Amino acid sequence: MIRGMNAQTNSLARLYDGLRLVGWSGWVGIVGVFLITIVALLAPWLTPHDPYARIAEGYLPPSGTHWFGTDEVGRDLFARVLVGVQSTWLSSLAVIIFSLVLGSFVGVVSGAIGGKVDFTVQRIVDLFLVLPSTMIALAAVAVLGPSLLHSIIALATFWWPWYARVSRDEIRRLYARPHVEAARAAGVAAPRLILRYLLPGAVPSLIIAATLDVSNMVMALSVMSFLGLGQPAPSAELGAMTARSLDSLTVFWWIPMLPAVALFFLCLFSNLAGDGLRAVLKGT
Amino acid sequence: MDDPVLTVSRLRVVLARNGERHRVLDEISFAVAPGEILAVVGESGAGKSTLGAAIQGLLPSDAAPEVSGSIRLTGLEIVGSPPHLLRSARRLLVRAVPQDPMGALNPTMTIRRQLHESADCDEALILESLRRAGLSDERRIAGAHPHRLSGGERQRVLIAMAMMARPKLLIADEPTTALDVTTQAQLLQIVRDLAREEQTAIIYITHDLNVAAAVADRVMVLFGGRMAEIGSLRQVARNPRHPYSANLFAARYDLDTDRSRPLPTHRAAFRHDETSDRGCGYFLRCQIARSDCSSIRPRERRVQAHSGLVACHRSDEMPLAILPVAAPRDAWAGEEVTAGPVALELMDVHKRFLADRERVWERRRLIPALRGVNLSIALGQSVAVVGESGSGKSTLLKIAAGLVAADSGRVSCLDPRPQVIFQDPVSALTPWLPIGEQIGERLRPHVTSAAERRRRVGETLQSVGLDPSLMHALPSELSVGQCQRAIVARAVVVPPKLLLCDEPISAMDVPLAAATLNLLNDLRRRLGLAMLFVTHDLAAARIIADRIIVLNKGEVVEEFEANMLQSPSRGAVTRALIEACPSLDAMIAG
Repeated sequence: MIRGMNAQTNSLARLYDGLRLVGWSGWVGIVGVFLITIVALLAPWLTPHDPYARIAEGYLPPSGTHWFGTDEVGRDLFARVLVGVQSTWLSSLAVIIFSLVLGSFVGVVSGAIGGKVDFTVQRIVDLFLVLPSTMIALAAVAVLGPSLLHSIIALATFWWPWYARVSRDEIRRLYARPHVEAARAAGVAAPRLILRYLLPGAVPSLIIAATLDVSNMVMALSVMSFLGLGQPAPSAELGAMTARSLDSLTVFWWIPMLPAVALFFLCLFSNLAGDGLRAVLKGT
Repeated sequence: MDDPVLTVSRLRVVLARNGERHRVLDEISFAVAPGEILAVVGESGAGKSTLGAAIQGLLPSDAAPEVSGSIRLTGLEIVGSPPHLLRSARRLLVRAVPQDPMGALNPTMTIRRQLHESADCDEALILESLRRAGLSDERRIAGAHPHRLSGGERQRVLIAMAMMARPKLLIADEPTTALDVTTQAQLLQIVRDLAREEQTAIIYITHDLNVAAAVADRVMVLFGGRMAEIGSLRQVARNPRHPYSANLFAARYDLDTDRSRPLPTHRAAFRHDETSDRGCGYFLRCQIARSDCSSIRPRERRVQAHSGLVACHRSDEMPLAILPVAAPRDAWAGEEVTAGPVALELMDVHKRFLADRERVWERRRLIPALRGVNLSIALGQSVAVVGESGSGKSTLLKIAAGLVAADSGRVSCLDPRPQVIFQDPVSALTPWLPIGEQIGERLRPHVTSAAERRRRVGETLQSVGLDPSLMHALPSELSVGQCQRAIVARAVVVPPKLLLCDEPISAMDVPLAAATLNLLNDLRRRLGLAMLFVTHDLAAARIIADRIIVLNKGEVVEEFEANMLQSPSRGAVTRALIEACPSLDAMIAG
């Protein structure tokens, strides 16, 4: 009787092995993303002042009472940045998750069925991919009228085909592997083949693609709001706040800079977290 | 004896794998003289390839290697030398021929440019060294990109590349494992010539003792990173003094092995534990171990039986005869059924493939893979298909499995879903599913209750020699041998009428291959399966099969009973295959 060489290795030890691969930068990113999400969820309760009310004089520099200073109207900039982080971060996550779910469903089904269905679906995906998606989303929002919801809808419409392509390619790659061939030779039914033998192999690549994509989405949404296609004027959005006060950059640097710095950290942490996750999931 | 080219003393290599540090090589000492061929043998994981990499100073840096001891190459110390010194040593003194020739050649450069880059020489020398490596159409080869060449040609190009630098030492790491026997025989001849004519010292790493016998003067047996025995190959093979090498040499099989009973096997996968650190690494598996073997590490010492060194406390006291070499059990249980209904029949099967384009606008030619093959296997019968690479063996198997459709001819199979056992057991298992679930897939249509499925999977695992508790393990937690058994379990959990095996043992070390052959032989007798076994290994074919079919260029050239393999009436193709088979016994006798 031959015993497993290390069949005792439990899943906890395996998880631990994986986590060691994250590296310090990955941990910085993961912890950062975690904190950002908590802050974004709790933003209405964390803001020290009403972000929309005039609570002090305008153009106050950062200080103990107003951490980020005040803007041209005298609203607390820190409160406004927090609310801006909330709307940008949560809507980016929403678009990415929507695209991930829809895109991988389309991609997995198309890849697993193959043949003519796959061909047709992939040509439709191609059609989406060759279009300059951000530009069209911009145009669509301009037509629909500027609002955050419209931006989200426009971006989500053009974002999912990328995930459909990634998941479809992963599925086709797995399909040619001997273990899937063996499962087919064993007569595994199609739904089971997709869910148990194909999808788990595609999940790591999809998660990596999605986490590294969050910062792209953060940027795309900010670009829209920078160009005035986000929520209308009094609302606090990171891109719009920077855009509106850009001409005072040399004098009152904190008003355009601090929202931009917040944006920078959103992108940085999500990229670092994505890199860390890639290290775990791909084992490099 | 001349001054040795290579002197290794007390070499110790520690590598990190998955965050843990393993002592991969432990106090290895040996020397190689000019023109000498030293075979390094041992099971997978014994440290053979690490030894080759350490001598070149090419240990993987992500494994954070710690090297101590000394490697002296013509007086130049390799251990601890700065990178530029290592680089020139690699360029001028030591060259390597790896196992996978495609991975070692740059796919974007022609062979000529790569040879030029490797040794900085003119056209005439490039062509001459290609010719000397046994490539007769050297001009075509020199102008070609690697993907245009066959596996044997690529391997010869690498040998030519290694020879051109006129190195003092050549390290060949399993260079013929992926090649068929005829090509292997030619390559072994080239290696021998190189040692004799150029006085190159050669370290030949292999898991195949028959290959070692065909090429080497001396042999070093590694076990668990330590040297078990070193000495003249003939003396060690005749009279091994370390119980591990005795078992290793006894577990081989060749064209004269008794095929009426299971092969003797003794698989002793090394596992690290406390005893193996302090005492002898072989203690737990040794049949003649004493109490002090677990506490005192045996040093290499001279023995009376041969001129080499043995690391065993009892090397001198045991006469070899009392060593209980894992004795073959009784003959196969169960009756041999040979006159059952026909399980697989191929009649006049033709198959052609589209060739690659030579030029962009060229019309693609059709290359015949099978030309009118007839084959019939009865239930309970086992048929081996042998032939060189490109003879159509794999195509035949795929047609029988229903994975490829034949162009013309009739294929009838008793089983709508014949089961296939592939060459690489690890890649044929889904990495994220427990093996029990994968084995149970074929039960699903027949058995609806999960508990009943688990019970049947457990029984099947037991019948292939695995612990039933392994059904919850993932493939990565299993050794290669266990993976192979799991795959066999998946194939027989619902006994198929026809079992197809595609070179299942060609990448395995000898004890593992012998165990796999025994398992397949046992199962097909117990379950009365028809079996088609595709291989390029005649010795394995003779053991596993009742009948052997020899394919050549897509045609069946001969078909005979396995017992009659060596009969003088065999045709030219078969005789060539037999002659190309290296044999340790012949070397010992000769």
